[in-house]
Amino acid sequence: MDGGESQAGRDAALEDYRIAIRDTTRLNRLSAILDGQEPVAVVADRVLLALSELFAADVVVLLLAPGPGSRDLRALAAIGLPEELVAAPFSGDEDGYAASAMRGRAPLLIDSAQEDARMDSRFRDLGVATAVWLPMPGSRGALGTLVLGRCNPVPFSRPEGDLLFAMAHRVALVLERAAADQERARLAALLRQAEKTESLRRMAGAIAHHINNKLMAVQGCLDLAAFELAAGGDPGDPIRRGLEATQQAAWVGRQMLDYLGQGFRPRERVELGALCREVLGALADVRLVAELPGPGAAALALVADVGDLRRVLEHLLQNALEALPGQGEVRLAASRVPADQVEGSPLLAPGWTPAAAAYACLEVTDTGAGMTPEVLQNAFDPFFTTKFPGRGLGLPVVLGIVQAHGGTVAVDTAPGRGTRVRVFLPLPDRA
Amino acid sequence: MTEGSPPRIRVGTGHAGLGEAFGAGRAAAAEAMAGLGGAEPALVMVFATPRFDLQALLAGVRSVTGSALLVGSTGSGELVTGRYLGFGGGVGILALSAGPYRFAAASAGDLQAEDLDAAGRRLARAARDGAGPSAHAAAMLITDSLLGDLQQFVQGVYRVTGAKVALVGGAAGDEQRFVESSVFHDDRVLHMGALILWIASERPLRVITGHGWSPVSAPLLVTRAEGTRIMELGGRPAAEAYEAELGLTEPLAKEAFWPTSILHPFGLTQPDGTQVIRVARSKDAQGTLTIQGCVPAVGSVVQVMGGSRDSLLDVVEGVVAAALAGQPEPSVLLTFSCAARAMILGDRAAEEAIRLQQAAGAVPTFGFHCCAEFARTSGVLATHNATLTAIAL
Repeated sequence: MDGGESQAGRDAALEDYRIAIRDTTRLNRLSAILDGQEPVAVVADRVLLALSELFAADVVVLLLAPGPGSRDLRALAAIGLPEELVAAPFSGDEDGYAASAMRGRAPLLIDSAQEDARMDSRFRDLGVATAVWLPMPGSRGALGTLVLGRCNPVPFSRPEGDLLFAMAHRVALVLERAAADQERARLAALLRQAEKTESLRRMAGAIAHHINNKLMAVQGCLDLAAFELAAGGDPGDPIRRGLEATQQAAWVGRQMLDYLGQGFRPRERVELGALCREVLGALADVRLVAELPGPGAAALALVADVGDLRRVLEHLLQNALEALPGQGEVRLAASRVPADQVEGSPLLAPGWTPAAAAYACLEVTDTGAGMTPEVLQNAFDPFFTTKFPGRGLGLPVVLGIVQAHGGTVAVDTAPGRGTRVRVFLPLPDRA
Repeated sequence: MTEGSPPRIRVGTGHAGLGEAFGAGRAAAAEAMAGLGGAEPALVMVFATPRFDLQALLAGVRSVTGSALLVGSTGSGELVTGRYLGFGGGVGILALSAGPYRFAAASAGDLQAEDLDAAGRRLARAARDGAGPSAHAAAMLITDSLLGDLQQFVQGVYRVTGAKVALVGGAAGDEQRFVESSVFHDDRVLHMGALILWIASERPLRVITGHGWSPVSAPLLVTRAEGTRIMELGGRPAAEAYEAELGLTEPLAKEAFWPTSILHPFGLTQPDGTQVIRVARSKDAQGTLTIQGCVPAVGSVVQVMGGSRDSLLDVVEGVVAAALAGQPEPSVLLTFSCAARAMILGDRAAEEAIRLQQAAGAVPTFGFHCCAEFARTSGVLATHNATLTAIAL
């Protein structure tokens, strides 16, 4: 090999090296963008900015396939096109480059864009001299077309076109996925809103119903008392019954405050095992089985409102007993768990995170009918009940009280497999 | 003072040394205005050392130029018809009659907390609307150099202008202290600001760049970058990888970093094989590099560059010739050279100004040493370091 051949060989190797670096950069940059989780419009914009830089393209436009009843394409994103020219539609005529690109399976390389009537006049007016039109094949046909243009006469090479075609395919799939994610998120938000509306509607209706019933009772009793007074009789009995009705209305109000975590009362040191034994004693049901810590060093001592905790226990045990089909058992257990073991599916307190090092776990398990996912989803909403008669306030009050104490609730249930409710309440540092 | 004699536009330049600000501004402006031969100034460009009382300087200028549109900034040495004023040198002024052009400017200060892309769009729209429609145009960008990723600003401008409008300009500087720079608009001194001068034209306007750097290292992949900082190159702390490519066996001391990095900027390989230059101005204890103006994105490949005073100066004639070739009857050559070039050229810095003027012949040259240059020649990337850019009107 003489010196000339040796130099030519070195030059060729250097050129290959340069091209390899260039194409590696192109792929790396695009991958870094496509690996992100941004919304469709952001991904599209970043892709176009990168393609403009990486392919020295003065103009890059991403055109989406026409919708039903239209032949024209719209720009999802554009770089290098003056902003006032982006909004107007691009022709989707059968013999135009956009339609041809979407029908084809290869890049369309245009070397003389200025003289080419099939090029959109906006590109020609900008001085685009060479261009490449690329189909964007998604999983269900062409998503649209990607156009890159240069205002200098350097044409896009065939290898550049092939690389861009491969990139366009990847971009189409990512955009498709991002659009699907976005649509899913939109539908989920709509569903959440509908559920919230339904929950509020049910709660408002039930509160109005309860209060109205009690007010009617009060009104009836007062009418009767007035009649008794006018007739010279004794109004004492109707007044007593009217007072009872107002107390019942006030009870509903207190339950709602507890559900909202606003029924604050003074807190004190409560030994959980002792409280459980007290409540079990009052219920005196042979189906109840307990596994509780004894007094002394192992005792679970909380700082809480003892009345609130008693009501939590009573509601949970009552619900569990009512779920038994006549036989079976309800098991009550209490134990200490470290914060990192507070878990469940679902954990009922949106955004809850442990704030204490350890928690008392109060566990009520029944061997009853269990709940369907739909019932579980509503079980902690006020006034939702599957029982007759039932007010639908037990579990919401449990959740409200537990949240007011900085705790959370986990429920494991399935139809025919019973239910396990675990209440986690924070333990003081030295408990 | 140099007076241009093109048929359609009148040009006058003036300069004054560092001294009492009002008087210096007034004297330089009077010299520039004399070059207009009585024509009304449509545009006054002012580049000055940050050591002046800048408000007083502008008041001095406008005591002569009246309400004519004034744009400019602080810099790191002004270039006035073959003269390089140097750090702390003074003020250079260019006055232009309108000729075939229409000028309008839009500016804003205190942009440090703003989305620069959005700010670029906003100012570009305002400047364009001020100048009105035209067949062609150029947008001259003058920004504070400390705003952050200046390419974001350019990108926003480009979204509005599109490919047909030439983008050119430079970032204000403070003689390489990186503490405070200022942009001028009429009688206002803007801090953390940006300005766009819209030049509406019936002819195409062309921007040219040149730098004189060549790769001296293997390619390095940017694996972690954020804002104006590169954290990792090839998975290693960026400073470590950079120093290894320079063959250094010991890490550079903090104070030794800038004198080294200015001589060995990064080159960002472009599709045509050329390089866009990026200068790292500092490193921190974690090995993160802070890049002036615009950082190469994650996934980019960069190379360490090298050059000499000769190679940096030798691009001057090519840049000037290409810029003038774009105009059939050029009246003035506006140049934006990097402050880093002035620092590297050292006692030969004046040679750049002389060669610019010699190459331009009778066409007066005017500009300044800035702290990031703007020039869009292809694609969207239009922010440069350690580069010479020019546009002829």
